Amino acid sequence: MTPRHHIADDLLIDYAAGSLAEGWSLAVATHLSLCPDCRARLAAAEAVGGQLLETLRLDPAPGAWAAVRARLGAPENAATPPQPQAAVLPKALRDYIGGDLEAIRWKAIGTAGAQMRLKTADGKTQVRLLKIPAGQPVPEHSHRGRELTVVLFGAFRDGELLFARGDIEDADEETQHIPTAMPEADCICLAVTDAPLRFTSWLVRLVQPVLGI
Amino acid sequence: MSLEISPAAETWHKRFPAAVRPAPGRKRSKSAGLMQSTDAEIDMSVLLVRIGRTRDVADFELLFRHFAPRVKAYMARTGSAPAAEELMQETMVAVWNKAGLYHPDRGAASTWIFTIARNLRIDAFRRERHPEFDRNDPAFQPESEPAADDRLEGEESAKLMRQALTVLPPDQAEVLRLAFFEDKSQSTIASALGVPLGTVKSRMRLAFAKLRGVVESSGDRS
Repeated sequence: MTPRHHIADDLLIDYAAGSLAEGWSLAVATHLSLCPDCRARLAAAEAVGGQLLETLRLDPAPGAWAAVRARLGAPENAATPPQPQAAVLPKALRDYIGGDLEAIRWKAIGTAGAQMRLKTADGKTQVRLLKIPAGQPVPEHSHRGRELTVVLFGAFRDGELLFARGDIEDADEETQHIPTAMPEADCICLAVTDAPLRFTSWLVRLVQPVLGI
Repeated sequence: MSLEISPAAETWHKRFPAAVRPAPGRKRSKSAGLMQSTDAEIDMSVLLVRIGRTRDVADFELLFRHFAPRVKAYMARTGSAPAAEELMQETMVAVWNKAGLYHPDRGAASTWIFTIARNLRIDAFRRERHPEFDRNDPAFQPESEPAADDRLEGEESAKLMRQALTVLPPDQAEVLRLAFFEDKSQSTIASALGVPLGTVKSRMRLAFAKLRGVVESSGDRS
């Protein structure tokens, strides 16, 4: 089954243009690995980049061709680096974790699940893997900024909407939501935010700095 | 909540497959010559495929003469002239090294070279990674139907898109150029132009709908 909740236009265009921060780009690349429809949209957005490139012109330095010619070596081997036999997490994400699900180093968030923070170089986003225990809600929260959540394993329900593998939820500061893992399995997601979450409960807010969320 | 895909994007979505299906008579074999009869322009995608196969330096020089000035200008939008020259050379060497991995049915040569230049620019100027999907990844979800061999090739739809770009309203062309050339996210563009973010987003969306529309209507024509 392919995803039903897709990447918003603005994210897809910024990703194609190369202006999207690394953290958001990781969420986009994760969804793209699982969504043929959005890959077709991306191809069109990148074609715009190619055609815009065709409109530019700035003469290379006089010796440019000779310099490049001298650097032409053997072709890169078309054989791709070894891949595992099977994987749950897309490669874009495995590269940040150092492996598949079993390589995730979970840290408990109280009794409300667990997380692993992933490091990016953009200095703007916070990226984490989240595990929501089967049937349990993530504490109700809203955002000062944007939050992208991509489902990797299991599924969660938020109000009327169901999010399963590959689906992306795109929430902003107006969203106040209670994502709840479906009862069948723990739900594992990639969550990217540009500002700390704002929990509705003062109790959760109190412990937030301690939990690092 | 912006959970649902926008109507414009949904239309794009549903109609895009039709865009890459050529109408009868538009079919062009993959072994078509480099010279296109209509405008005597070199077909860069055919050239690039040939470079990947034969590693012919003379062919690569032709490709270099066409793309080096474009890639250098692209790099100069965000960096100094010496940095732009070096990044252009790096890009062209990468194009030579990776030429065997180019698939014309996934896009025009200009699109593929743009993505290589873009990734080198991100790495050089922002020191960030650009995470990407990998078709050889066991977790990769493939297209449900295999790519038909009668798809409109990248180079043809690219040409239509190029024509459509020249007739975009100036405010729409401007936001595209800022996004693609100046490494500006849509919120940065909004503050640079002094307009609301929603305005930038809708200009961008309109521009894309138009560019796609041109490619699609030609693909549907019989």
